[in-house]
Amino acid sequence: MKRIFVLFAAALALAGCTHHTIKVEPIEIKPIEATINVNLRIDRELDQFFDFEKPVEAAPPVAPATQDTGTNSVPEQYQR
Amino acid sequence: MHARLTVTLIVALLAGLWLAPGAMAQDDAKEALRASMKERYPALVQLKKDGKIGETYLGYIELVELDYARDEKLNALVKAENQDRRALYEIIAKEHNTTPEKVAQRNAQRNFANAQDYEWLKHTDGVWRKKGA
Repeated sequence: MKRIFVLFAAALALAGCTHHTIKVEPIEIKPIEATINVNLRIDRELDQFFDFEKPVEAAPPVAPATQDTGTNSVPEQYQR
Repeated sequence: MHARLTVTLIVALLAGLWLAPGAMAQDDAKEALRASMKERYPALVQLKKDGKIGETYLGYIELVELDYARDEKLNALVKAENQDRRALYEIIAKEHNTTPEKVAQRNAQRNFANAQDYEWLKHTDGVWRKKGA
């Protein structure tokens, strides 16, 4: 029993002597930024090229007939 | 100092003269492609409404069903559109120092986002699905 305890203690002591190294890879940000920039530029270029694909926008609303346009709206034949 | 400035200006001028024709030729090619695609666009919209063609994840159009391949006119239209697209992707890729496949992929994303609910879209799994489904 005593021998097992000694062996266990020795194993623990040796485990403390091991050396662990954790390597952290450097995070590269520049290529990601470059990719995003290229994507944005391509998207912009495609949008400009295919601008004819945009649906025809609704015509601006016509001014109501009762709206005062600054001119005389009474038909000519009824004017005095 | 003055001499160095003169040399720099001459070099810049020569570089401009050397690069300008290439850039102008690309602009002309792009403009020709744009005119051709603009003319074809209404027909493509109608075919999309009819469910005969759709946009794919690769940035090109395809027939939604193989049965439609019997229609020669339809086949020719799809072929012409895809040829124009390939040429456009190559020009843009050259301008932005990237690959035509990358440009095609960006255009596919754009087409998928802009698609109407009635349009068929071919996804990365190869399955056609309606945008609004």
